[in-house]
Amino acid sequence: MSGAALVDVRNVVKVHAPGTPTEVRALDGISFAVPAGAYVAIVGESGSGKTTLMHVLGGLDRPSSGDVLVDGRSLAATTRRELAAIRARSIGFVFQGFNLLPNLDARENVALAARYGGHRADASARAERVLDEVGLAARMRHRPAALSGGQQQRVAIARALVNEPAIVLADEPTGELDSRTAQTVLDLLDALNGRGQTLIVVTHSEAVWRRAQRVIRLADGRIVSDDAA
Amino acid sequence: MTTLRELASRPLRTFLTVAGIAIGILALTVVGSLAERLQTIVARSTSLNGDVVFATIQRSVMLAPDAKARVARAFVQLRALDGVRAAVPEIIVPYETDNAGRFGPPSLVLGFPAEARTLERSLLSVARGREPESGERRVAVIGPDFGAAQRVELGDVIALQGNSFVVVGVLDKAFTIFDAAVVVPFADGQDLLRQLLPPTLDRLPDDPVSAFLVAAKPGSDVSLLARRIALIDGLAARDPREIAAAVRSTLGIFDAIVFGAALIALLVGAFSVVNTMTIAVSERTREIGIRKAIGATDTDILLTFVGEAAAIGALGGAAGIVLGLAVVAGLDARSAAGGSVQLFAISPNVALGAFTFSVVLSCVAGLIPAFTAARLPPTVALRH
Repeated sequence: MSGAALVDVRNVVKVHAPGTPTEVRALDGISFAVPAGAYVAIVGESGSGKTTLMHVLGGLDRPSSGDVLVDGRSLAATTRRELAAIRARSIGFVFQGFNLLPNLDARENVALAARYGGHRADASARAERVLDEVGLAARMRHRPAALSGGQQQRVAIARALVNEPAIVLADEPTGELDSRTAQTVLDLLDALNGRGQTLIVVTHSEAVWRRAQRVIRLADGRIVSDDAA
Repeated sequence: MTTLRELASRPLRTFLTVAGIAIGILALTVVGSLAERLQTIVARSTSLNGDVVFATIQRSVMLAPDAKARVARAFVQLRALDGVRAAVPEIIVPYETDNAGRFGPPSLVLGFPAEARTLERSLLSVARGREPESGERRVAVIGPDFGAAQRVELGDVIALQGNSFVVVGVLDKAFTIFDAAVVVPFADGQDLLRQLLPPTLDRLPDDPVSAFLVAAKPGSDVSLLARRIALIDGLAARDPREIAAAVRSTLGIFDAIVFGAALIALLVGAFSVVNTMTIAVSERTREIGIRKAIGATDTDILLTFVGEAAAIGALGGAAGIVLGLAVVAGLDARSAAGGSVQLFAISPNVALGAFTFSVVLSCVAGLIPAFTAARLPPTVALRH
């Protein structure tokens, strides 16, 4: 734990379907801290609790016990509305399956996140700027179906960055990309981290976690190792 | 824009849902227009005829051997009644004897004596041209709807029962039966009545009368006057206030039935909105999860789906009003062509009311599915 930690995970336990025959203890007393500007990879086999941990870190799910502090703010003690505001302004998500809205073009997908982040007046301008930064200035009016996998993931990264969040959480960001496109996306993440962006990446790909500064390994919902890469 | 694009991405479903709402609004627009016009007609007729009692001559008297004497006696008694300001005889004959296929009430030819003008003035006013002069024959003043239907203008010659009449005046629009009527001198009206009856009815008096128009003195009790008139041998009369109340009551029942039917049609449309939005929420569960992951609040999600329901309501409302206007215009054109009073009145209130109702109803119908969507936990939605 650290008082200066951007993300402080304190003895987090997450039990799915508690009290039922299908009860699963997905996270079992997880604690770690992430300072600002870090590049952390969370790795582990399928079912190790990686995705549940990412959901808890990102305020998509609440821990059964324990707490997560983002920039000193407890996620356990927030209302649904406050949690939504934290997701909008402090956390940027990048998903494995891109998760872009199919009826919106690249600019609209990014601008939507900007609007949810409170930037209603300049949402489009922000979206255009960040899409330009990820190299998609010429593809702003294309819908996801008209973009390649790598381009879609870059739109997703732009969407994650548009509100200048404290942390970017990426879940298997190269999982649906070929190796060459994956390299491009990883280079982009490296560049973001190089500019001071805190990154937490959930992955089982060695090519991904090799790029992180620190690797936290999970097994059966517990941290089995926490090392510099 | 994105709301419309979302709806456009499922064109058939959106079309069917919008059509469901549009049918309901169409019914509501037509019925609302009809109710609006009927209310106007009743209000105008009530205000114009408030101090006038129609005293009709009983059929048995009309066909009696001493009809002329009895009618003359009744007329003398009528004028002598306390509370009568003026009483004039009147002739009422149909403009066309064959009304088959017509829409709306029949056009009438009304015959008034010259002295009726002071009485008529409160009922009828001439917009263009003039009134018939005293002793003048074979001239007519026409109602505006009659002129439009028969394409008759001031100065034209019209045929009534094969007799030629010169149109010397056109009445103001009054939203009463006079709009589709022809007013002729009393003597000409008597001629028309004689021509209209079958030759076997040779007992018709030389000086036939259909009814008497009785104006009450200002401040007198019209109901009491009507009861006194009914006591005169050979005459029948109804209290104009009683008639107005009966018409209003009937109109109220009519409104309740037709508005009820229109509302049922609209409710069926609302259920189709519920169905469509429920399917949309089910199909777009993952999208809800994505939106929440990037910061959407429950309210944002609620407004997204209620907004789509409102757009369906707005599209259906607009389409229903346009279709309703077309139906109303078509029916009015048909009744005008037949020389009848136009039965529909589209007012901004009817159109605005129908549109607002459509949007509000659709929003309410979309609330439950939207609320379900808003309360979905993001992780559950993302796993979908």
